[in-house]
Amino acid sequence: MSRKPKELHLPPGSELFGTKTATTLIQLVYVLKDTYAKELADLTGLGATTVKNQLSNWENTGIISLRTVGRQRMVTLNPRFYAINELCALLERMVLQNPEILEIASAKRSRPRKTGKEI
Amino acid sequence: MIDSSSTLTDIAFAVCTAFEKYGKTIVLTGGRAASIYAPEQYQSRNLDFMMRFSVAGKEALDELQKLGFEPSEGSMYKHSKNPITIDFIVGDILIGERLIQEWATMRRQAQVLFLLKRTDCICDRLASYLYSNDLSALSAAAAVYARTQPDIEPIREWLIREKADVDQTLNRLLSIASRTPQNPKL
Repeated sequence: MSRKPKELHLPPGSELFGTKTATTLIQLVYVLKDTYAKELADLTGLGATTVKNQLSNWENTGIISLRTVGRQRMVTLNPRFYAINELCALLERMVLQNPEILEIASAKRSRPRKTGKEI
Repeated sequence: MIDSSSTLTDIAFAVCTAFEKYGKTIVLTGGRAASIYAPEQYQSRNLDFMMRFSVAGKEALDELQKLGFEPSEGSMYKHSKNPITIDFIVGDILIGERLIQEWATMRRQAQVLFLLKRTDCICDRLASYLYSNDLSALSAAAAVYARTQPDIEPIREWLIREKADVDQTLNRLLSIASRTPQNPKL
């Protein structure tokens, strides 16, 4: 008797960084360039603790770097990571395959806004 | 008459027509110009008009006040019954390094609206994306591209002149555009 194969609905590569959550987060860190835990939590709807734990894991492995700006811990991909160019190339390819990541990130407005001007 | 139910498009036509009546051409730019081409994509509560003259003229400003707009901070105008604001930016219309000397004209009954041409509108949004990593502006550019299907070459040439990462920018633009509904009527 043949076993029915498990049905997979996730797009290819969506768990490449361990889980779907982790894969989404690393792509967002890549496209946003400069972000922070709360922003990532707001954009994804994930809990702040989940995001912070994931960022902490990546900081320990050297993939991302964190720096303090005011009261915020800003997150970027670590430019000194030994395979940063390859990582960026992979993430770019993944983003093009799944442009929904760009749409999620587009909820953040980052261009300058004149004082008093409505959004 | 502008009231609380007037849309951004209604107000854009009304204001542009008021200036045109006195021989003053103002051109709609920015995110709102993008949402004229791709209405579902981009929402803003502000209209950015470029003026190539420093003095609007008393008659045109009187006409603006007749529409219910009063001067607010800086060059902005606010309406008492509508949350939409208008900003007048004086100077040449530049998208990155490129000077814009021609624009599109839309007519609605007796009203007129001057706005960036579709390709310029895409480049204008890409400029916001490139210089501020504003991904919402990239989405707006992609929506205008998907809706209007312009020739990609002038956009590529503009990106080259701006010394942008041409391949990455175009790939992202086209990737998002491929997910956006197209409208062959525009």
